[in-house]
Amino acid sequence: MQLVQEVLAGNREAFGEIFRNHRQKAYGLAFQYTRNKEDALDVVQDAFIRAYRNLRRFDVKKEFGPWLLTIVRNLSIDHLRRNKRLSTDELPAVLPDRRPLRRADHQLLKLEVRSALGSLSAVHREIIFLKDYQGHSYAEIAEIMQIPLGTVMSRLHHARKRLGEAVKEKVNAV
Amino acid sequence: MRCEEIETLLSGYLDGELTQQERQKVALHLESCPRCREQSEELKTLKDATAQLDYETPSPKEWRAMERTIMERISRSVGWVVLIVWSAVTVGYGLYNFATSPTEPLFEKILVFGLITGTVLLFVSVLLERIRASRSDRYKGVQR
Repeated sequence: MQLVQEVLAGNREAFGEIFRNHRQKAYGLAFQYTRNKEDALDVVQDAFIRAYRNLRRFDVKKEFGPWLLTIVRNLSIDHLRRNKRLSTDELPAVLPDRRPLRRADHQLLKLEVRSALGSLSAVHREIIFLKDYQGHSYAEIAEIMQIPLGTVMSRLHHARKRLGEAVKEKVNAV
Repeated sequence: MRCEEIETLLSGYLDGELTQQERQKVALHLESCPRCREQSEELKTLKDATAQLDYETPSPKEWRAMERTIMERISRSVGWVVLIVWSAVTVGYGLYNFATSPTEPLFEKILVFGLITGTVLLFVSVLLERIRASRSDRYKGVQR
């Protein structure tokens, strides 16, 4: 990657461009964990500084984005640990509702998806965000989340099922 | 293929992440199974709704402030490295001169180097403890 090589060659200004290219995705992922803007911004700032300090350990043949997001992810987890909010797995399980979701409910659905995402565990929220919002491939998600490629599909499917159940619960309660 | 087997492949099918063979199997099954087809449509609806979500994002002013802070901290870290390296060189040079000086009494040399040896031993002990702690860290190997 050209910009990374420029930074490694001593051009610190090139890191500013890297920051502008990747800040939105980094923030989006951090937000999935922290659920508030200020904390997500703190995580993103620390992540870029760490990325700069560890840039020599980055394999320039790979994509910079997933590497950075791995750092963002780990700092987000550290942040939650410090604030004792690592997981919402303890929340009551959402009971499956067999009534199907319909596209006709779209506006309502969007609202409920946002709300239902908040009731998922951070890990489920994260994998849905990485795939459906940011559009990463399974291989990239495996790299970011440090899990085997084969686990990505099953975890994502499980997360989507949980999301669907949570959304149905909310839609049908209206 | 049974519905249970298809279900685990549905997300991969929607995301275009299956092999050609798996894709064909899922497509064939969906043609003949209304329940799995409904589930597939439901997952697609959720996927599309998630893709259109927005969330509170920082303003351009906040991004600019963060960029400035990052660039300042990066420059500062370069300063720290230079300071540490030059301090080490300066102290090392001073100690060498002190140790090899014929005018300094042996007793003072013993006092100074005893103090340094104690500090180094303490440092090594803390370092070893940190290494042992990192070995039992479940996030070991994860780039932070």
